[in-house]
Amino acid sequence: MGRLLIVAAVAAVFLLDLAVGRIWLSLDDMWQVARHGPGAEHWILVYELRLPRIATAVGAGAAFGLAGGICQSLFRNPLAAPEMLGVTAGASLGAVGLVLAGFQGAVVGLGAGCGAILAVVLLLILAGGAPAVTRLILTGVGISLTASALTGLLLSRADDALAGDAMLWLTGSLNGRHWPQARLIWGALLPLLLLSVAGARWLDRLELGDDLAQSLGVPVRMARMVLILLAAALIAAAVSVTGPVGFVGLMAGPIARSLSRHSGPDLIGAALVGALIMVLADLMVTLTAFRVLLPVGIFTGLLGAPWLIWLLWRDTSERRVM
Amino acid sequence: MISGLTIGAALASLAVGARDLPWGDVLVALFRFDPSRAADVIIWEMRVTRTITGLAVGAALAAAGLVMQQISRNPLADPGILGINGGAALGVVLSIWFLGWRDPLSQSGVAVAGAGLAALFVYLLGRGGRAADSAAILRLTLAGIAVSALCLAVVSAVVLIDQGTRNLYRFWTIGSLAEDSQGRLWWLLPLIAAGLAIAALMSRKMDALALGADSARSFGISVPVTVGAALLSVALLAGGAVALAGPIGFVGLIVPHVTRRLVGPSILPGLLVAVPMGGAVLLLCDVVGRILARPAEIQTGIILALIGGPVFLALMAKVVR
Amino acid sequence: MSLNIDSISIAYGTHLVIKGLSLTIPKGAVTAIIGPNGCGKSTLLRGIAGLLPLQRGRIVLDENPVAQMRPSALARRLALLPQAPLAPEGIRVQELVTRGRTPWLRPFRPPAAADRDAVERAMHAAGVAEMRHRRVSDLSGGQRQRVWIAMAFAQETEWLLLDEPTTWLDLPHQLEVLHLIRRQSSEASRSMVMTLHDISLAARFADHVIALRDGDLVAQGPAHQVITPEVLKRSFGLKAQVIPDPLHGTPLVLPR
Repeated sequence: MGRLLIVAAVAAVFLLDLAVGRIWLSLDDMWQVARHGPGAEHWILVYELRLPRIATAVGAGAAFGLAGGICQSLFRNPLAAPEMLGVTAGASLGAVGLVLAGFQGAVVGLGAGCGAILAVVLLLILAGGAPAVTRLILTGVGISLTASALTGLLLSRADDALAGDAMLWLTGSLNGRHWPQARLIWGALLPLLLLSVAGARWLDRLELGDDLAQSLGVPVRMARMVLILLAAALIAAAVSVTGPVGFVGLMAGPIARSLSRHSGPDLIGAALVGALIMVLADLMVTLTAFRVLLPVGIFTGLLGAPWLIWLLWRDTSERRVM
Repeated sequence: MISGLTIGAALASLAVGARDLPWGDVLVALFRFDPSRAADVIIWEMRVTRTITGLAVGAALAAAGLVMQQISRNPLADPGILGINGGAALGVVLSIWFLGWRDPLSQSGVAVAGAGLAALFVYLLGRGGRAADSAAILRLTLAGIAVSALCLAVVSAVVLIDQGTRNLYRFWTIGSLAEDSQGRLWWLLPLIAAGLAIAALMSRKMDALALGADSARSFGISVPVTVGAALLSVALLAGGAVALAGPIGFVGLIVPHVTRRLVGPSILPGLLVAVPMGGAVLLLCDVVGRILARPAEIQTGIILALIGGPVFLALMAKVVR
Repeated sequence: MSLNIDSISIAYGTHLVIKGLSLTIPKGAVTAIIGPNGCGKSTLLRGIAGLLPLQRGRIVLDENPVAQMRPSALARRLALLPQAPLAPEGIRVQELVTRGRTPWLRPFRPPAAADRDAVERAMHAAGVAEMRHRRVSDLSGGQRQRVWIAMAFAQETEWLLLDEPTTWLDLPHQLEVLHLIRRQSSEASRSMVMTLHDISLAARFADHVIALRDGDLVAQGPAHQVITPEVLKRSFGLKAQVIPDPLHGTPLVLPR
């Protein structure tokens, strides 16, 4: 029921996002495009411009949401999203490094992956094996701060044109994303999604605590390592395509969990909600494009920062998060 | 010793730059100005202002950090991390965009107002719970991150819509002393001085508040008045610093830890050390930035962030288990 | 001369904790407030110290209504040591005890000779003078509590309210702290009011005992009049026998 609702919402926002823009399309226009293919009137607009951007949005949003769901479940806390753990900042440091060195495309994704994994390794070393949530998140914040400083250093040494692009990219943007980027993110997302679904059975039991999970036959250490590397890979793939779009993972996991009827983590749900948030944010980009296309990260920030504030405010009355 | 450090940093800041000047020339220029010598003109036209700006900004940020760490009992508090610099930046950007205010006076005013609002909001949001445990530290830090992110989202939106300011913003946002601030400096020095004065005058009440709200009240001290004064002082200090040099982080994180080591946790002796030391730290980072990337320079904010990130991690590892 | 509490009510939010309570606390004595958890012991202390507003009623300190006194004036006559005070990171013993002088310090001047003397007296009375230069965070729990009590002594008020001064301490340190409070009361002729968990310790160290239940008075008076099987039943819902302590003659509680 909850799952169906999210799928319907994603589909509706997807179509809306496809229709909205400088030229507004009706459902009939889109049907024409689907039926007649390249001969249709709006073919270029839909197929070459809007569809790849939205497909990228769905793929990246799903990756951010999925990674968020994995981390939140693994560390048993709704605050433990990748951007809070420094993984996102690490990935963007790696990506910016390669972009400024002149690379493009999938290689940038490798750089992002190295950055993300480095951040994860640093996190586990500094915070300890099974850290309390305060230490985990504050370590993540410290890693984020350090990685952002290094990114800033790289940017300040770059020439202006390249640095300008990188600045825009650092806000997290879907503008100018075409089929190559869409293929990249989907190519990475699908196998990682399958692996995550397989890993979700571990997650279910890990949520009961390490000791109980061990006695239920989960290889605890390996399971944690595999799951966190999966999350890092997801973040790296998404970041290399859209830049570090913040807060999607933070919001997606808890929303999916509250919509799901099961008690455990809902990874598919988290991926769907992540996609929904991303496409909604992209819709806002389109709707506010009076003069310039704003990067999508601004809108996830405008949605996500109040979400974090709400989490903290709720915590005052109920003492739940910490 | 601290004042020696500060004077040394100031001299280094005068001497080092795209063109190195011998130390002797610096002293000569300072005390016997001769407009026909190129070195003297460089020093007086560019580097003196820059040095004063650095001293003022560093002092203000260190003092703001000290007040924040004592009031919130949070050793990780810093105007940058807790979103106060972000609030000031938002105030400046919004007032330029909506109201077209570009004169130094109103810009300083909105920077202080933005810093004050952000400080109040973060304080209220981070206040939950009364213990000084690590959960309270996490809470305040997250409140700061949320406010930072919100301010940053709006600031980037405005800057992108108003394309002309983007390149300016790029340097301003990471904090630099190099931007022309001569016009603003004279407006902002009194604001920073006022912030320091409030902190000094209220230091005893803030010290009492650091023992917890109940202890403060049983000393006959009004908690809202003291918190209000502390927030106002932080707003003036951080807002003034941001309006001068952009949002520079971490001075307020690092310096108070050193002062606590040297003179203990009371605010007044802390301020006496933090003010010169903050100025020295900022100038030294500025000088390092000028040396490392000659003939260009690395913004001071980046140097500080490179030091500050690991320092944050080290302090956190000490405080939070 | 005493502390008169005249039909006061105190609420946290909408929840009424103290309901029309009236009692008299004698001057120059040690008073213990006992009662089960949540009966409003701490709330009463906080209300007396002016930390919580009164919904109704009034508190009169030596014929002056507390509500009409300026906070700074009240702080020179009455001090409260909260249950969990917070020590700033890195603070040393003497510096912390000196903060107890806050209500007496003249603005913008360093502590005067009288202040320094008061700090000395307080540190000696509490037996923390030898550790004056140590960091509070490095002390043991019992030492730390004595430092906090020294800070409250340094405030040199006629009235001193102590909220659970013995929590978290083991029995020897509890006794140490209570002896300290007792001695200070007789030597400096101060009035001490404290909340206590342990009924037998209250009976032994207090001149005057107040038993509460649900924010209401059950009994007040000298220990041997208040600590009786009947009062314990009504206040704590505890079935107990009370016998004279063979060493001190004070009431000793034997739970059934």
